[in-house]
Amino acid sequence: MKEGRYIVGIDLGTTNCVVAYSDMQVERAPREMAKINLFRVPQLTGPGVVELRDSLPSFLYVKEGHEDASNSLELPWQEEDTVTVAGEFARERGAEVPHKLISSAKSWLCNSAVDRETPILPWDTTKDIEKLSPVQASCALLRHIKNAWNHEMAADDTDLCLENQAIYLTVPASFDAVARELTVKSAQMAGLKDIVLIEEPQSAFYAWIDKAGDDWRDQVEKGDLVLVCDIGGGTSDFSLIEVNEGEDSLLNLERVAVGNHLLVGGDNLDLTLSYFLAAKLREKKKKLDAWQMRGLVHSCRKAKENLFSSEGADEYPVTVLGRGSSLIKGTIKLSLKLADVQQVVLDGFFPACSLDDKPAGSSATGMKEFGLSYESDPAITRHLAQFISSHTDDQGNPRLPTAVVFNGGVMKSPLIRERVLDVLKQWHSAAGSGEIRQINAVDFDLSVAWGASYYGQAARGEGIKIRGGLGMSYYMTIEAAMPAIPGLAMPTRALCIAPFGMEDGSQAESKDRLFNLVVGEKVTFDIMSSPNRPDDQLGDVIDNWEDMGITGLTSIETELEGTDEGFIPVTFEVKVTEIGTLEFWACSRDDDRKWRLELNVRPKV
Amino acid sequence: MNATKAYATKSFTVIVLFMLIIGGAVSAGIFFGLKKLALIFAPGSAGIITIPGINETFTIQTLADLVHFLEIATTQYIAYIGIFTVLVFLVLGLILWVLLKSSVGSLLKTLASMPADKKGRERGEGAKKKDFAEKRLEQERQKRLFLHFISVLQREGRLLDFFAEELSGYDDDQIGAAVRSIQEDCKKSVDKYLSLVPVIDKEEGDTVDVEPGFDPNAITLTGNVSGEPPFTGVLRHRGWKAAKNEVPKLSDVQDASIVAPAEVEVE
Repeated sequence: MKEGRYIVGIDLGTTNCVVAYSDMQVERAPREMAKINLFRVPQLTGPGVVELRDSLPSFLYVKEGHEDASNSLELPWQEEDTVTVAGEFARERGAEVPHKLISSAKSWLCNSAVDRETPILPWDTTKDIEKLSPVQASCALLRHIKNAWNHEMAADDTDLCLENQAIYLTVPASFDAVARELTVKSAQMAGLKDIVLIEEPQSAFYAWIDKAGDDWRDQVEKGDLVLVCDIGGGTSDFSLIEVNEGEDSLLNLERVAVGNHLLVGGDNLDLTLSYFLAAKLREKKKKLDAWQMRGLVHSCRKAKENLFSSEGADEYPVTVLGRGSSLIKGTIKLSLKLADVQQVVLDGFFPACSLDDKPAGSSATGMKEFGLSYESDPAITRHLAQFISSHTDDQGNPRLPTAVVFNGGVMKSPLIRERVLDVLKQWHSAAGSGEIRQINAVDFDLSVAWGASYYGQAARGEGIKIRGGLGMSYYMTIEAAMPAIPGLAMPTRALCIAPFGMEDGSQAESKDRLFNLVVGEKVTFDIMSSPNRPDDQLGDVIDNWEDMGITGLTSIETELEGTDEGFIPVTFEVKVTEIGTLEFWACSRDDDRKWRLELNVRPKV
Repeated sequence: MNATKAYATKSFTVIVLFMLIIGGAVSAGIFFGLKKLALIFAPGSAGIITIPGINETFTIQTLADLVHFLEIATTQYIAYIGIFTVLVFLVLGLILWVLLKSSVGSLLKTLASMPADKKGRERGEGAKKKDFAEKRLEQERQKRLFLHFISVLQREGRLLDFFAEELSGYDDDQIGAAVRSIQEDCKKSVDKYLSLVPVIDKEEGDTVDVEPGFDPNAITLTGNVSGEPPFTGVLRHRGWKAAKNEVPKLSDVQDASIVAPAEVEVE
């Protein structure tokens, strides 16, 4: 890791990117943490207008020839022939021409149904425009951040360039090994060679620690189980952090569980509200065109924020102005009632449910449109129930969290926070266990980047670190030991090759299991993962793994060089790198040769 | 590029001329020498060689005579005529050098004078032109910056479209519905760009003291004003002050007078 002047935390979000940094050269008292600042990102906010914003909307607008020629899309710095514009202008302009807009690049990065390194975005475009791969799209966002930083912070000193600083990039806790690998790859493509990955919910928790200062030890106690509930614009992410007492009788923190990747977030709320209102308009025989629909989504967001703020009214007017010169004549006026919002948002996305409830499976419509796999059940509380009930204690009872930290734009609304807290309390009372309290978050939008910068300081030994390690356990298929039956596929078994909680920088070798690999031929192994089997140990073999919460991830492959040796007996070794990615190695038993097995990022056939 | 070409042609002609002269001189010398030798060795001649500059006369009849002649010629000739010829070539070389130098020098001078001329021109009428262009550009930028805030209000809140409406044709209800949205969006933009705060943070109607040395830009005194401060009066308007003034960076566009672009939907 570079020992640059700044420690930079980058929250590469699904809908917004935020950058925070701490200046390590500023004078401060010993043992005091360096102050963390927000880097305001310069970006195009209109044609020919460059302004600073707290965040960079994660939207890319694909330029075309006639736009490239005019200088209205120029940035104050030199761009190495990029075909996209990032930020606020991209989001606004892209809403007008959706076939040229790339959004949710990060969700595509963890979509194993597509080849994430072929240019497929903008998705669903029939027009002949330049396309980017999900990796390239993430790279374009990071490149914008890098260039913006170098323009603002390192105008006359290359030592201050972003690529020369310690960079901590946040990823959802639910990102699997492939998505992490691709995130690192996109950062490297953007010229950020030296980065470390950190999980977003952990990062949000670090932000709280930083804000609370030394008092944080008074606000949690030994035995606390803290739920981090991060609901952003496009995704939801849960983690459980356990508070323990170490041998030195100081509190320490350990991340004990991470949830699945859920493609549901604040944008879904706004869209649902606006479709709800559009349906009401249709009853009145008023139809909205695409332009007015955008206006409606926009006003719905305002109305929702207003109604959900603590001193909101019971009703809020939603107006969609007429287009062009028929401003007043074409104005459509509606009013959004608090009861409606509660019904649509709270009961739709945060319904009261019991801990045993499971999210509804995919709908029975048969053909599902290919693309991002949005959740078929939007009820976030049901996903939360599934997450918490899968994390059990020794007796097999679900361990209920005793405190909760909220994060993400959706959680800005006190009503939604209250609802989630109510649901959690209800689970507690049903189980007859203790209380749950809310830990005050710092800033629902910015704290992830903030916490990443704190973590960077902690990594230099200046603050507390959450012990975490691998957020999932990883498996490899092996064939069952039974005689082959003609015409039947051999049942496979899952061999645990990397257990949950493996520490960064450690490695695990499955010593007692040998594989004979053929020299000079491509060898492929299927890799599976599971987020909720923390008790599996290295070398454990699981039968019927499909029914045991283990899902196929991808394959790893390599080609063993060599000529006439025939077979080489090898063992497998899995390494968790300091960056936060996984490496798979095949080690020869008889000598010290090693082969790296590459993760396959192409979709499974 | 042009200068080197000019230099090449010029030096080429000069060198060719010199080579022609030297070649001519040498060939003429060989011609006359051969003619003389032919006379000496012609049958019937006495074989007497008289070398100009050496007061000796040879009569070549045997080989030994020839060797002797060569000996005398090499020592004496080099001593006198050799030095003379070397001097002549030196002088020729000098002349060549001077010529080349002068021609190259004049070329370099023209080269040097070319940008100087340009500079001079710029400093003259060019400078005026540039200053003028820069001034124009600056004016355009100022104009764009001035219009930018209006264009933000139009983009975010449709303010100009609202101003353009003929209100007499609509009910107050209809106007009210539209205004609600416009006011809200415009307010958001004003907050974002200026974040206005009152100049005097007190309630209207409160009694206010105006100290000596107050900023007349910040406080306007009305009513019964006479004499010197301090004054005491009633706050009628709290005033507005921009707490934030973040000027965006605007790139140069073709037409700075555009406030809101026309929209054309491509079918």
